[in-house]
Amino acid sequence: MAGITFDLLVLSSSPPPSSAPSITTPPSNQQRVRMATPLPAALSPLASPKRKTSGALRSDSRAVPLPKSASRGFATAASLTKSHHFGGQNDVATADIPQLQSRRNSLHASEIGENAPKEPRNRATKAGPATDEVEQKPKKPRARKPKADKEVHMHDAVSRNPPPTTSSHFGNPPTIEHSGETPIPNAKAKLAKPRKPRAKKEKPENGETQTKIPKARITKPRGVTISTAKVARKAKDDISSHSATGKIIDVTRTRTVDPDVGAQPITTDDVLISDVARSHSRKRDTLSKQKAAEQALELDEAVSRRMDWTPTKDTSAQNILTDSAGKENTAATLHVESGAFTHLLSSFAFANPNSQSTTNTTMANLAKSGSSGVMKRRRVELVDVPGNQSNSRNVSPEKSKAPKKKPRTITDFVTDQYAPPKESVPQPSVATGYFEPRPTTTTTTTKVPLNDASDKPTKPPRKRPSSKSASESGETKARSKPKKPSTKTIAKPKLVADKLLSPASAVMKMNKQDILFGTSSQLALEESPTQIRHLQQALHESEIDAEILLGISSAPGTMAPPVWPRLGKVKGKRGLWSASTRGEDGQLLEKTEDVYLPDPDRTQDLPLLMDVDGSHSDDDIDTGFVGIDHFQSNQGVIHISSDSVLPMDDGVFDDVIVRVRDEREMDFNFNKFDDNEPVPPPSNQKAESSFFDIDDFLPQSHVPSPVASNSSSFLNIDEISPPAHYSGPSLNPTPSTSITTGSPKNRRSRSPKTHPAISSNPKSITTKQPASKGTSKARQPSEAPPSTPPRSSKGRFADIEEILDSEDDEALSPSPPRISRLHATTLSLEPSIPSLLPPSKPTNMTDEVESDDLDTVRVLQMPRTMIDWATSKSYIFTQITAAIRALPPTIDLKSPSWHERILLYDAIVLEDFTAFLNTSTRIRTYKKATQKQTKAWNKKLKKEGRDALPDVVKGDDGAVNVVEKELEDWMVQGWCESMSVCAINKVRGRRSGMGKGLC
Amino acid sequence: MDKPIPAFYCCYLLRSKNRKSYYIGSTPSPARRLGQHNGDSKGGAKRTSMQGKRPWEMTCIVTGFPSRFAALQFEWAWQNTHMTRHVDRDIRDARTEDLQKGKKKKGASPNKRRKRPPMSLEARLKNMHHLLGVKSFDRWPLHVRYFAADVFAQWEKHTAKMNPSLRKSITVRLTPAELPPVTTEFDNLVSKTPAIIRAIEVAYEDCKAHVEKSRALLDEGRINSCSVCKGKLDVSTSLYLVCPLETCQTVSHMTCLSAKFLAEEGGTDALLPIEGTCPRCRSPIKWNTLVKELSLRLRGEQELEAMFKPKRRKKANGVSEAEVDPQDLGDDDELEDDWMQEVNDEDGS
Repeated sequence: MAGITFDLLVLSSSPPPSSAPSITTPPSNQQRVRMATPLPAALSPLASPKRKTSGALRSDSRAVPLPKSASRGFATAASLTKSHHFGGQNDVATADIPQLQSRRNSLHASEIGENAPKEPRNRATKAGPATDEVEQKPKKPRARKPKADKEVHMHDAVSRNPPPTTSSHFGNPPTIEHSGETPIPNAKAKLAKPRKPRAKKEKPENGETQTKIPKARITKPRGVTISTAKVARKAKDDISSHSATGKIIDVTRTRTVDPDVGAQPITTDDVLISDVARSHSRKRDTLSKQKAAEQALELDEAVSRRMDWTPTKDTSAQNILTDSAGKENTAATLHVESGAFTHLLSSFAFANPNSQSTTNTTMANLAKSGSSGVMKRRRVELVDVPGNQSNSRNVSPEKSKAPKKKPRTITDFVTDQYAPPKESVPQPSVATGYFEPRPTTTTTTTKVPLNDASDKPTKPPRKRPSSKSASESGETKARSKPKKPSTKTIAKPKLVADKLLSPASAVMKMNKQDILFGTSSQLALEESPTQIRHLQQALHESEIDAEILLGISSAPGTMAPPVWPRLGKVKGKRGLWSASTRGEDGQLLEKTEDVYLPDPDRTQDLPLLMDVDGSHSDDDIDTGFVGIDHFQSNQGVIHISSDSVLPMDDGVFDDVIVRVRDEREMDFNFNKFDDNEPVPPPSNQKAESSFFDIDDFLPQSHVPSPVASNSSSFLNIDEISPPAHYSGPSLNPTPSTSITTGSPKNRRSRSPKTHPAISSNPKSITTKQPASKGTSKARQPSEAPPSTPPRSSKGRFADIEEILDSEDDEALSPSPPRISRLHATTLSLEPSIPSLLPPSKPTNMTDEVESDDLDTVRVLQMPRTMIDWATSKSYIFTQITAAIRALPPTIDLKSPSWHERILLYDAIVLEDFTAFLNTSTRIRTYKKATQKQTKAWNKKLKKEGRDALPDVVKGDDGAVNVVEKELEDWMVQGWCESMSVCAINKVRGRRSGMGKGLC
Repeated sequence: MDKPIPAFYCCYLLRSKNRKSYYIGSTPSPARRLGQHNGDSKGGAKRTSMQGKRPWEMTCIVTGFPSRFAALQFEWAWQNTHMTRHVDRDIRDARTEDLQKGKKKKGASPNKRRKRPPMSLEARLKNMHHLLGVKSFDRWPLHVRYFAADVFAQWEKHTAKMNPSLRKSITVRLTPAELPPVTTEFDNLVSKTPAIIRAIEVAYEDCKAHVEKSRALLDEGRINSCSVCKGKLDVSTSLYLVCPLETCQTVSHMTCLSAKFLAEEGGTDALLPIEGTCPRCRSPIKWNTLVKELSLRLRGEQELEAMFKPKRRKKANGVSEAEVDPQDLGDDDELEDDWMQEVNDEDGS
């Protein structure tokens, strides 16, 4: 054993870089050599058999621990010998650990043990798949071992050396070495791959046995590696001598072990070190020409293999190991030269913990192997937490991926909603082999498989499925429905990707595609886009309908009519709000959102309620938007708006009914719709079909179909479901069920994110509304009530309407600041200002018209520049300044004049000051007169027998017809700023406006 | 507007110990505020709450704000010089570009609110310099005081050539503050705030003599004619100013004296005087000194009470700052706070 190990050691240390390239490898080999650093590993295989023998014996004695390693490592290693090796390694590792902690001069055995564990670790990190290979390889490795990676050689060498020593000291260490060897052969075949699997297996084992190791690893590895490097350099020659002395060998082993250990925990430092190690490895290669030749041959293969298979990370790890060894080598060489074994041992001790991590055997085994060693080993295990590290490593990649996914912005949420189909498409292909059955069953299942296949894609889908799954679980009846949607969603993406559509069909699809516009907050809702769309549509249409109703309907006493028209007014004024697809009434949207947001959970409950309570209208009302509206209308309890509306148009109702039916009967009607639709392939249509498509088609089909249309009122619509038209309460159960069914389908079609049935109900309602283009009147009333009082009882419903009315009264003033503006504008329009022109003004005005008539505003002709604030402001400012200066001093000390206030550095409230200027001074600005004003003025002039204003030549810079205009706050503010007067705004409602106010 | 001109209000520039982070704020009580920023007491701004940036060093203050609103406006303008209304847009943009040299110009629309660009110390100092000369602020009785010598050096270096230079009546002083020693647990509060900042007079103490004098004049019934217009001066119905000089008994109408001061200044169309000379004693007087006393007389009942109450105690023990002006407590300003609301409330009242 010792002799063999010596040879191995020589190989590892011997190959100086210069010799290696010269011998066999082409120039390119240099790099290869770096890669090939494992070459020394060839030695390890040789050692491995030796170790195996010893290890087997020991392993047998430690039968108990073996099973653990066997489960993980044996399967991969597949060879009992390996398992034995692993067990031995563990023992050794434990022994090493104690050395690291307290014993620097401690037994060689401990060092040996350390060496062994290191090797397995490297292997494990590198290759996962190679387990099979590993098993086969061990045989090959022995011969090939020298060729294998230099690192491997290093490890092997170390391991080999220790085994003899360890064998002498402890039975266990050899086993450890064997384990290291076995992985090495694998490395030869494909270094990276075999190593990884081993490492994985070993890691868990280590984790079990050694939890505390990691600390030791980190610190020690460097020193150990250094020692090994030095040893290798000096001494291939020396090695023989070292081999003669077991202690020295041990040292080398420990050193080598340390690098391995260090490689796992250490990253950056190791990498840096790795370069050094590489250089060392090159040297070593040169030294051992024979070995180098073999290595070179194998190296090429190994390099190619690595290039092909080994992940970059793994290679880096290996390099790290070597590097660490290199650093340590420097230190170690010093130690060697000095001949202080104690130091060497201490360095080894650091290496040991690493080795422990590699060891598969349990703590108990270690204890059994050697009493003295056991104690140390145990301690080592305690100190090092290799197992934890290994676990953490394994877990860490997954976790790391996951956290990345988690952090999301609102935009991410929004985009994700639409992203899933894309993801699902590609993913299915990958996952299909594994999970085909699942996707077909449910969307959720499909997502799960995706997750398995690739972590990243999986997470987003999971969230969606969760909601879906929840909805499914919640709704027993609805369950069947959600499944359908899932299948549809899956099918859709494929279809889109696969088929080329004719222009016409493409246009159809385009139209069908629902591009959802909304605020980020709206879109960020977890609810399906369809829901949002429906809500928006419902709100929009309801308002439109309301307008129509108002125009048309005039049910005398009903509350509804006034409300609707007012709503219309609001719309016009709030263009921005509508643009964001929010309901004209911000309240409506908010309420709806509140209601829907929780929907997924509620929806589950709601459908149940619907089903159970179907007979009871009241219960139904609570359930969902749709239900409420319909039920209420049906019940007739609170029909204020709806009743008036209902009588108006039967046709409208029909449409609504039809829509409802469509939703309910989507399955039934699908064929019909498809026929109606111009879209090319029916299959595509179904798959792609979204709510809109259905709705669009529906109206056609509906019109003919709706039996209920005649009788149809809101009640009818709700009830529209196949059975009966009217009886609200009695009918409710059926419609509710039907609605739920229909809605899920729709959702399915549009968005992969199917929502619970409950949520679907409101959607269905909304969808109905959008669909009904022509007959909107009836629909609107129906929609409007639901939007405002989602779950409200009848009483609430009435109240809500009243609130709307009150709001309508105030409708003109959306917000306080606007109010002020309106006020100002109104003032300006009024002729309240006595038209006394400042004498200095260069105006051609017609004089002194007494503006008795409120309608006529005095029109002046002035230079065009007077309209431009930039040019006129200096004039205005001087006027203001003069006016302020001219103010008489106050008599009341408590109410100083504006001038005095300014002198007192008071902050001037702009609104008040502006009002003062406008009321107590004649300072005015001018704005262009409208033609109407001009005409009116001329008319008045003629009436009074005066000449009309001369026509103004357009484009002429000269004169313009202007109308006086009061000063505005911002003008006065400009003056204040020019005068260093601190001006503040009085009305400053919210923080949002703060910045502008102050600046 | 029923509060007198504050005894003290300043905007300040804080610098983090790491020298890479700055903060601009305003306060009527720098020492207390600095303590808040450094976590010695509650109420520090969130942006200064990071322990890594503490302690904060108060490098300079701009003093003399005639009202809280004025200080807030200046603070905001200083913080957002790139978009403040007090600087004309073209100049503002040019300056912003200039101060952001080397950085890409954003294509944002001019009307869109722009994000505050990161400001170097140099940029902040230049902005302050620029703002001191802006029309909106240049009639305010502002002064600059530096506590950090290196910052003052930078100011001198960067603003020496700036055009226009500061109005001469704006004084820029350097009163180096010893950097707080590494604080021990126990005397954090005291040790973190340099003595020179703690020594800043934030109460009306400096007005006291002035107020007492005017009271005495009033009591003696010597106030009967305006020194400027020579007309009758009705104490009960007109606002009058009293020369702060102890020996001078000059009394004037406020408007008269302001006109005189402005005339002395010559050629300005300004409304607000900055300084002038007493019509009789010819001693230079700051307008804000006169007005502050007047505002105390007019609106400062509480403050005067507070000012004179401790006086009695003073005989026994001496006045403590806190006792002197309790109204300043809690009067702190953080622009992020809801001060606007307060404005509204005050206006409403």
